[in-house]
Amino acid sequence: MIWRRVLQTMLLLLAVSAAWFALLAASPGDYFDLQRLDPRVSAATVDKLRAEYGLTKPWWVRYGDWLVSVAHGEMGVSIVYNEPVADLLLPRCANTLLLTLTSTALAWGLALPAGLWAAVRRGGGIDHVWNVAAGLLLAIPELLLGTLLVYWAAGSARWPAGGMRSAQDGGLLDILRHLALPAGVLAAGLFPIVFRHFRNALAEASGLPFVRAARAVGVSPPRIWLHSVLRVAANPMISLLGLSIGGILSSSLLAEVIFGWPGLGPLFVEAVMTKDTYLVLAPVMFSAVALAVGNLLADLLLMWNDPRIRAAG
Amino acid sequence: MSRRGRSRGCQKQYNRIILAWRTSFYFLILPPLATALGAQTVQRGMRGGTLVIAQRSEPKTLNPLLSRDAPSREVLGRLSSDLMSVNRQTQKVEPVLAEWVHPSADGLHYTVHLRSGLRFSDGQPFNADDVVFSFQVYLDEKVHAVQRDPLLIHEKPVTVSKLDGQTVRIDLPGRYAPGERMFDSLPMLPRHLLEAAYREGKLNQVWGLSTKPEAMAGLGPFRVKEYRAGERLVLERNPYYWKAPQPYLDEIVFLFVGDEDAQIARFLTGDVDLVNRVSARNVGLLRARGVRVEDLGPSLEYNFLLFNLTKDASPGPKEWFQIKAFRQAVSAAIDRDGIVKLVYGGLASPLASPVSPGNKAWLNQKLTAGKHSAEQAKKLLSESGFTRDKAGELRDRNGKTVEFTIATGASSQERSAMATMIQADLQAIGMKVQIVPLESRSMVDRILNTHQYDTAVMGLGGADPDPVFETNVWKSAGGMHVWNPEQKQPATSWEAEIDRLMDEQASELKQEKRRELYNRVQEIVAEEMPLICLTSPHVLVAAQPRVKNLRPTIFDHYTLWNSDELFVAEAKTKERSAGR
Amino acid sequence: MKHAAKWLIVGMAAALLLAPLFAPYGEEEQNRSRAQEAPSWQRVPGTEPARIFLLGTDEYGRDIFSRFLYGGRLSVAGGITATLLALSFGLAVGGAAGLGGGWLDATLMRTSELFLSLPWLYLLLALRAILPLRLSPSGAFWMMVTVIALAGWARPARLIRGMVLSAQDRPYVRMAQAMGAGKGYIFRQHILPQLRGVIWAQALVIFPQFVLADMALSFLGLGVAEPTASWGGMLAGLRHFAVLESHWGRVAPVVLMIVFFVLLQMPASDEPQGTQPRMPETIQ
Repeated sequence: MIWRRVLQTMLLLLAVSAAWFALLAASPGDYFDLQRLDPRVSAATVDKLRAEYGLTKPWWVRYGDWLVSVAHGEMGVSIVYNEPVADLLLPRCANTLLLTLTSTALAWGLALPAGLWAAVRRGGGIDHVWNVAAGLLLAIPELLLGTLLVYWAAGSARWPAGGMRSAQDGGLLDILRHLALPAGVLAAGLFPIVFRHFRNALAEASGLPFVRAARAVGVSPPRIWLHSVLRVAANPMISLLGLSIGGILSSSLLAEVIFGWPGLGPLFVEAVMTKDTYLVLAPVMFSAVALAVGNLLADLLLMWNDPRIRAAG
Repeated sequence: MSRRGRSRGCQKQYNRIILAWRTSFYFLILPPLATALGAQTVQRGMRGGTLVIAQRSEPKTLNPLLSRDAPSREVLGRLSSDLMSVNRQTQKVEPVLAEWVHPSADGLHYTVHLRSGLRFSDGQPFNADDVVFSFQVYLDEKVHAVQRDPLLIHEKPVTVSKLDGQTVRIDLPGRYAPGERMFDSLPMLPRHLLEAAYREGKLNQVWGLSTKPEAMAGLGPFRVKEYRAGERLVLERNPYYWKAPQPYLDEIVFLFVGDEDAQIARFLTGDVDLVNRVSARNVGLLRARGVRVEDLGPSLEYNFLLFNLTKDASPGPKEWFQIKAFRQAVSAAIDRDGIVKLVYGGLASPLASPVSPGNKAWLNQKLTAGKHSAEQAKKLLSESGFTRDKAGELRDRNGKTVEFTIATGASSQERSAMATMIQADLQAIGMKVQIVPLESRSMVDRILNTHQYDTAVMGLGGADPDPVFETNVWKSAGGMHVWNPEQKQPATSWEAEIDRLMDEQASELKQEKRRELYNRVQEIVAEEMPLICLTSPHVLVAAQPRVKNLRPTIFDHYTLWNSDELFVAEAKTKERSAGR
Repeated sequence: MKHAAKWLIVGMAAALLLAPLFAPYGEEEQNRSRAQEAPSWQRVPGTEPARIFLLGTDEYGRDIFSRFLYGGRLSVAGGITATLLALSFGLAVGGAAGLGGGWLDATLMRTSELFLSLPWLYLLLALRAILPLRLSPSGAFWMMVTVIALAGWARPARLIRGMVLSAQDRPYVRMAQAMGAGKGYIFRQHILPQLRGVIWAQALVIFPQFVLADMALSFLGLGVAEPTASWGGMLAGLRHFAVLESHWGRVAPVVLMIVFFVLLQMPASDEPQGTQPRMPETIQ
C-alpha cells in the first residue's frame, strides 16, 4: 500500500511542478525586465544576459532541464541570487518550521483541552464562552491581527516589532521573545478550527448508542469520555492533523512577511514577483511533499486507531 | 588664452603650467577648501559602535559585476572604493584611491597615479595590475558586467594601460562630456582573488551571499563579517582602509526588515538606527513621536504618465494619443498640486520637465509645471474634434467613447495613489479611465517588450544628475525610450531633433553649451508631452539621535555615501526614549 | 439569540447588496479639500463641500461609509458566488466519487489533492499576470471568484465523499439497494439530507475567503483595482501605520466587518447532538 502511495505522490509532484512551470512561463516578463529599468544598461546587454541564463528557451525545454537536475539531486540555480536553490532554502526552512511547529503546538495544545471541556459541559455557559471566543477569532483575519500587533509592539517599549533576533544577539530567550507574536497570531487562526472540530466530534460521538449504553450501565463518566468517546472523535481530528502537517511550510507565508520572520515566506513572495522560476518551484515541491506525507501519516494513524478502516484498507 | 607673442615652445610650456595649476587646483586644493568653507564640517568621530540600517529586501549578491538591485548596491558600495568619485555634497569629482589624476588637454586621456601603500581588506597590496584587471573584467563582453555599458563611448570601450606599478593611463575613444564622472561607482577588484575564476569563465558564480568572508576582499571602509540568511548582513571595519583612523564604526548591520511600515516599526523600537527614503505619508507620525526626519528637498526621480505611442497600441488609444492636443489636454486636466498635497503631504515638487528641481545644475529654469485647468483641457479637446455626449462621456470624431487603461506597478504606493487621482481628474473631463495594477516586471515587459498597454504611471531617474546617463531614455533608438522604444528611425521630427541634441551634448565639453542643448531637450519634451511629468518626491531620512556625522544628500547613496565618517555616540537614556 | 443573529445577518447583507440605495455618496467621489477628516455627524459651516461623512474620509476625500457599503456589496456578492460555485462542484465531485467507486473515485481524489496543493494565493498571482490588460472590473471580480472556487472545492469534495461512503453502509440504504433503488435515487433521498450540516459548515469557511484573498492580494498591491471599493482593500489599507493613526473612522469598517462575520457563524455554532451523521473520514 505504501508503494502505491509513493507512486501516486510522484505523479502528483510531476503534475504540480508542470502546472507551476507552465503558469509561471505564461505570465509576461522575466527577471531581466527589471534590469531594463536601469537607464545605464542597454537593451542589448539585457538580451544577452537573458540568453545566457537560458530564458529564451521554451518552457518545456527548461522544465526538462530542471527534471534532469532534480533527478541528480539538485534543484536548480536561482537566477536572482546566482546560488543553488537548496542552499538558499535550507536555513529558511528551518526558521519556518520553528514558527509553524510552535504555533501548531500552541493551537492544538489549547484547543484540545478546551474542546473537551466544552463538549463535557455541552450547552452550558462554558460551552458558549468558548464558542464565542472561537467565533471571534475566526472572524478576525489573522493577517489583520498580525499588523495590529506589529503596530502595538512598535509603540510598546518591550515587545519586538518583527524579525527573529534583535541586533544584539540574545540567544534562545531572544528568539523566543520574537517568536511569541507571530506564533500567537498563527495559533489564533488555527485554534477556532481545531476547537470546533474537536468539540463537535466529541459531542456527536457522545450521543452514539454504545456510549449511551455504557452510561446506562454505570460506567464512570471520565472513563466513558476518555476511552470510548475520544477514540471515535479521534478520526476527524487525525485527518485534520494530517492536513495541518501538509500546510507546515506554506501556512505561515503572509504572517512571515508581516512580521519580517526570515522564513520561506518573504523569499517565496519575492521569487514569484521576480519570476525566479527554480526558486519558486522548490518550496512548492516541498509543500506538496509535506502534504503527501501529512496525508500518509494521517491515514496510518487512522488505521492504527480504527480497526474497521484497517480491515477495509 | 591669447598667445601674446610667445614662441610655440614657450606656448606649450605655458599650457603645461596652466594645466598643472588647473589639475592641482581641482584635485588638491579645491576639495578641502570646499569642505572647509561650504560643506558641513566633519566632526572627528569616536571609534566604536554599530550602526543598524533597514533594508526592504536582502541583497542578492556580493559580486560587484552582478549587483543589479538596490540592496546589493547599497552593501557593495561600503565594501569597495573607486579610483575617483563624485563628492555627493559638492558634486565635484575627488580622487579616492588615486593620489592625483591628470587629464589631457583634449580630455581624451587620464593619467592616474595611485596612492602608495594601499592594501585590500585581506592585507594584499593594491597596485596598477588590479586596476588593469578590473577594467579588463568590466569591459569583457562575455562577463556581462553591469558596469560595461557606461564605459562605452559611441559603442567603443575605454582602454586602460599600465604605465608603472602605481600609474595607469585611461584612454577614451572619443570626447565624452561627463569626463571623470564615469569612473564613479566603479569598484576596483582584487586580481589575486578573482583572476582564476575569470580565466575559467566562472566570474558570475563567485562571491555569492554564502561565500566565506575570507574569500572576498575590497578597498572600501568595511568588509564582510557575517551573513544570516533572510535576517542580516554584518560588515566590520576594514583594518587596511586607506583613510585611517576611519572608518569610525566597528560594524554596520544591514537588517532585512521588509517594507516601509515594518522598517518604521523596528525603528521605533530602537532596533534600527537609519531609515533611508521615508515616504511622505509616514513623516507626520514619526515627527509626532519626536523622531528627527530630515527633508532634503526634491530627489532626482521623476514620476510621469506615459502614453503608448508605438504602432502596437490598441486601435482607439493609437489615434487619440498621437494627437498632441489630446496629450496636452490630459496634462491640463491633472491636478499636480492636489497630488503633492494629498499623496505627499506637501513633501514633493510638481514637475515641468523630466528634470527635477533637485537637479539644480541641469534644470531648465524657464519651464513651469502645468497649471490644473479643466477648462483648458476641454478647450483643447473640442478644438481637436472631441465632443461630450449627453451622459457626459467624451467621444472622438467617429463617435467612439474615449476609454483607456492606466497601468501601475504594485510596488509603489505613491504611484498607485497618483493614478487614482489622475483617474478622477480625467473622469471630470469625460474620459473613462480604468486603473490596472500589475507586478513591476509585468509592467516593464508590457511597456518595453510587447507594447500591450495604453498608459502607465512610472518613475525614472535617480542615478546621476548628468544627462548623459539618461541617453537611453531620450534617444529614439534607446531601450528606455519608454513611449516608443528602440526605433530604427526616429518616428517624428521632434524625436529626431532630440536625438541630435543628445548626441551633441554628449561630446560637448563646455558646460554652458551643454546646458543650452539640454534645456532645448527639456523644452521639446514639455511641448510635445509623450510623457506627462507629474512630481518628484522629496528625499526624507529618519535617523536615531545617536548617529553622528550624517550628511544626507539627494544623491545615491543618500546616507551612507560617507559611511567612513559616520559614528555613533551612545546617547543618554532620556534622549533614546525621545526617539521612540 | 440565534434568531436575532439570523435577522441581523439578513438585514446587513441586504443593506450591503443594495448599497446604491443606502450609500449617501458615490463610491469614487473625491472631495479633495476634505481629505483625511475624522467622522463628523453635523454640517460644519465654511467647509466645502458641506457634507456629512459618517465615518470620515480617506486620503482622497472619499466617504468611508459609502465605500464600506459598496465594498460590502462586492465582497459579499463575491463570497456568495464563490461559495456556490465551490460547493456545487464539490458536491458533484464528492458524490460521484463516493457513489462511483473504483477508478473514478481514485482519479477524482488524486485530482482533489492536486488542487489542494496549489495554494490559491500563488495561483491568483500567477493567473493575474496572464490575463489581458483590458480586464474590466467585473472581469477581475470573476477571476478572483473562479480562483477561490477552484481552490475551495477540493476540501468539501473529500469530506462529502467520506460521508457518502459511510452513508452507503447504513442498513436502510443497503435495504433500499436490495429493493432495487438506483444510485441516483438513493443519493437524493437518503444521503443528501445528511450532508446539509457539512455543506453549511464548509460554506461558512469558504465565504470569507473572498475577502481574505482580496486582502492578501491588496497587501501586495494587486487586489481589486482602485477606485473600486472592496472590504479586502480596506482591510489591507490598515497595514499602513499612517492609515491606522489617522482617525477612528478608518478602523470602524473593520469592526463592522468582524461583527458581520461573527454573526455569520452564530446559527451554526452548535449542532444538536446526534443529528449529525458520523464522519469517519475513511481513507481510500
